[in-house]
Amino acid sequence: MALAKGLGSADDLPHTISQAIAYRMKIDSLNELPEDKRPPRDLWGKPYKLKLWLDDVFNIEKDRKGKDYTEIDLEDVE
Amino acid sequence: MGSLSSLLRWKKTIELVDQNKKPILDADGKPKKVYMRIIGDQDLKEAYAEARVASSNKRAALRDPETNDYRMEVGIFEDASEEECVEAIRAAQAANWTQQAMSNVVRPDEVEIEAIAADPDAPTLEEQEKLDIANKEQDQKYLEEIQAYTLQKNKELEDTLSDMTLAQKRELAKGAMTNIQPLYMFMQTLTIEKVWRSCWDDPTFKIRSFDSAQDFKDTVDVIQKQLLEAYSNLEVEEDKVKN
Repeated sequence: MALAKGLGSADDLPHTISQAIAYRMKIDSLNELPEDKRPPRDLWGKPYKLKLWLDDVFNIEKDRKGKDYTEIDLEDVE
Repeated sequence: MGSLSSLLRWKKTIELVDQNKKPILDADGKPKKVYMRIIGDQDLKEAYAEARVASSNKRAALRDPETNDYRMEVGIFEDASEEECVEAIRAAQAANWTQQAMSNVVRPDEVEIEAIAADPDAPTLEEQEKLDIANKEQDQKYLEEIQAYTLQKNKELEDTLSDMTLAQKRELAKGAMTNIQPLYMFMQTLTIEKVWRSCWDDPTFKIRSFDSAQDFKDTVDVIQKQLLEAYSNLEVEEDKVKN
C-alpha cells in the first residue's frame, strides 16, 4: 500500500519521520515501565547512560553475579 | 523546537534558475524542475558510510607528512602566528563542546500537573497555564546551563593557552587540524551525498537527477548551490526531532 504520492513503501519514508516515529515508540515503551523504574527524560537520547540506568534499576549486574557457578547448590544437581 | 508541520514537510519542487535568476529551460523550452524529497533510511545509511570513508581518507592524508594535504593544512602551522594557532585550536575544541554539554548537563524532567494542581485529574485553566510557564522556564534554564558549560570550557581553554609557548601552540594547532579537517570533510561529503540522493526528475520520484555524488559535483555551481540550500531548508535537524 502506497503511503503517499511518491512514497512507495516504508523504505521510502523520509528518515526524519521514521526517526521521529522510532523515538516516540522508544519513549512510549519506557513509559510502560513502573514509575520507580522509568528513566528520567535526560536519558532518553543517551543510549549508553540509559543502558547503565536500566541495568542498575533492574539489578542486571547483581543478577549476573548471583548466577555464578560457585553458588550452585549441589542438591539441585543430579 | 521542531514543529510537526516542518517534520511532515518532506518534498518540494525547485525551478532552477541561472546566475541571472532567469529560469533554466529544458529540451521542450519549459522551466527545468527538480523534484526533491527527504531521503529514506537506506539512503541516509549509505550517505553516512560514504562520509566516514571520506573523513577517514582525509585523516590518513593529514597524518602523512609526504602528502599535499599535510603540507597545505597541517605543515603550514610550523610557521603560523600565535593568533592563527589559537583560532585553529579553539575551532577544533569548540566543535565538541556542544555535544559534551548535551551529554553532561542534566535535562530536568518536565514539571507534572501533580506538582501544581490541587486536583490533578481536574486542573483549572490557571493551573494549566502555570504548568506551561513552569515548563518553559525549565527549558530556558536548561539552555542557559548548556551555554554556561560551553563558556566555562572556553575559559578553561584560554587559561591553558595563556601558559603555553608559541612552539607548544603550533604543535597543538597541528593536532587540532588533523581532527577538525576530517570533520569538515565528513560534513561536506554527507551533505552532498544527501542532496544528490534527494533529487529526482519526475514528481513520482522514479528517475534520479544524478547518478552519483561525482555527477552532482560536476554540475555547475549555480545549480549545486540552489539544491544544497533547498535540501537544507527541507530537512529537520535530528536534535529538533527529539525535542
